Amino acid sequence: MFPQARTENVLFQEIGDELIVYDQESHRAHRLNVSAALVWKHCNGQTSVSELSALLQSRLGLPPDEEIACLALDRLEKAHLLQEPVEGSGLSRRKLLQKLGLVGGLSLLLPTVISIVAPTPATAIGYSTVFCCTYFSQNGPAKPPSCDTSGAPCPPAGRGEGVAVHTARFCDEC
Amino acid sequence: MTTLEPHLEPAGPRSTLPRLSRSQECVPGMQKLERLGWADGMAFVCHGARIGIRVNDPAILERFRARLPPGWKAARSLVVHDLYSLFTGGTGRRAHVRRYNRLYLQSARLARTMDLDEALDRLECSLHHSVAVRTPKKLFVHAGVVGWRGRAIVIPGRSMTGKTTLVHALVRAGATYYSDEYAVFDARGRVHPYPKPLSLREGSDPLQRHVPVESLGGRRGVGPLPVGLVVMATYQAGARWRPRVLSPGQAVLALLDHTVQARVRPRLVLDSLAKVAAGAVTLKGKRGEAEEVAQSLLRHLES
Repeated sequence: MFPQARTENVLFQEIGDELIVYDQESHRAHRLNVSAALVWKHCNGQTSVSELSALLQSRLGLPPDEEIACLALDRLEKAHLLQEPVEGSGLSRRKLLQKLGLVGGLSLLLPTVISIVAPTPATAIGYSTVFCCTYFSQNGPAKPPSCDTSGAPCPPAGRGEGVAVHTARFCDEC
Repeated sequence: MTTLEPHLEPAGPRSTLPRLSRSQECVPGMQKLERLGWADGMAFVCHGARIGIRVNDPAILERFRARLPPGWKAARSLVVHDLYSLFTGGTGRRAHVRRYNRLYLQSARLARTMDLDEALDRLECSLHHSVAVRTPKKLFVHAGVVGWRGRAIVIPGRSMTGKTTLVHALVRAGATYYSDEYAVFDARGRVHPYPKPLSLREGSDPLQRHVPVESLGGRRGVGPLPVGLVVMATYQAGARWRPRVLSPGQAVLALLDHTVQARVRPRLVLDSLAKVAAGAVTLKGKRGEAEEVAQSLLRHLES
C-alpha cells in the first residue's frame, strides 16, 4: 500500500511540529499532531506503510509497529486528507496504547487529527445561539418556523415582537 | 415626514447618497427599496470596508454618528460594499396605521419594529459585523482584548460566554481596553484596538447597555500589540481556574473557530493565526468569578 496525500484544494500551515490543514472543499480545518503530520507529509504515493513506520521510529522514537502508521492513515482518511481510502488496522488508539504499553510522553506521540468546521461569519460570532436561547425562553421548546442560513448576523437580544421575527429570519443553528 | 419631502432625492447615478456597485445593484428587491424616499446618507470606510447608510430622516443620521464603528472615516467614493437603509416610521399617530421603523441591509430586511432604539441597536451591531466581514486588510476574531505591559490578552468566545465580563474585570485591574467584541489582527499577528463601548448585561437580562470604557475608569489602547496570552475560558459558577496549556496548533484551531473570515480568506487566516499562536501562550479551562481570573491572568503574563 502506497498512500497518497490529497493536495488539491487544501492549504496547510506548519506550526512547530504540528500541521494545520484547511480543506477548501468542506471548509474543515484539521490539526495534525507531530506523528500524523509526519505521515501526511510523506504520503507521496511512493512510500510504503512499512517505510512510514520506520520513519516514525527514527524521527520520533515510536515503537517499530506498522499499526501506528495504519492508525495515522486511518485518521487521515477519516479527515479526507488522502486521495484514496486505505485499509485500516481496525485498532483504536486506546487498544494500540494497551498493546504497545506506551505511557507518558510517548503516548502523546500517537497520531491524532482534530477537526473543526470553519465558522460562517454568523456562527463565528454566535448571535444565533443567543437568539435561540432568547426565543426558546419566550416561546417554549418549539423551533422557529423557518431558518435562513444566509450567514447574516442576528440582531442583539431583542424587545417584544422583534425577537421572534428576527430569530425566524436569521437563526442558522436550527 | 411631510417636512422632509422637499429634500428627498431619488437614488441614482448622480445622487449624493451611497450606493452599491453595479454588480450588486441587481440584487432582487433592491429597486423597490430605491423608490422609497431617501433624504440623507453617508459613506464611510473602516479597516478598508466601505459601508453606506441612508435614511429618510436626516436627524437620525446625526444622532447615530457617535455609534459608528471605531476608526471610521468618511469615504470619498459613494460606492459601498454594504448599504444599510433605515426608514423611520415617525412619531405621528394615524388611525389603523402602524408606523414601523424598518432597517435593510442591501434589500434584506434586518428589523421591523415600532421601537426606534431597537432599530438603531440593530444597525450598530450589524455595522460592526459588516466591517468584520468586508475588511480586506485585517482579520477579525470574535474576542475580547486588553493590553498589559506591552502585550495583549485575547479572550475568544461566542456571544453570552462572559467575554465582556472578563474584559471589564481586567480593565478594573488596570489593563488597557482594546475591545470587548473583536480582536483585529494584522498580517504580522499583532492585535489592533477596536474600542467600541463595552456591551454590559445585568445578570441574565439579555438587553445590553453600551458603556464607554472611560466611564468605567478604564483607558483605551492606541497602538497594535503582540499577543502574549490567549484565554479560552468558559464560565461555570464556583469553578476554580486551573487551565491547561494548549499547543500552538490547538491554539490556531481554537482561534480559527471564532474567525469571521475563516471561510473567505483561509490563507491569510492560517498565516496570521500561526504567528499569533507561535508567540503566545494559550490557556483553556473553566473559570469562576471574573475578578479572580483577571488577577491570575495578569500575573501569568508578567511571569
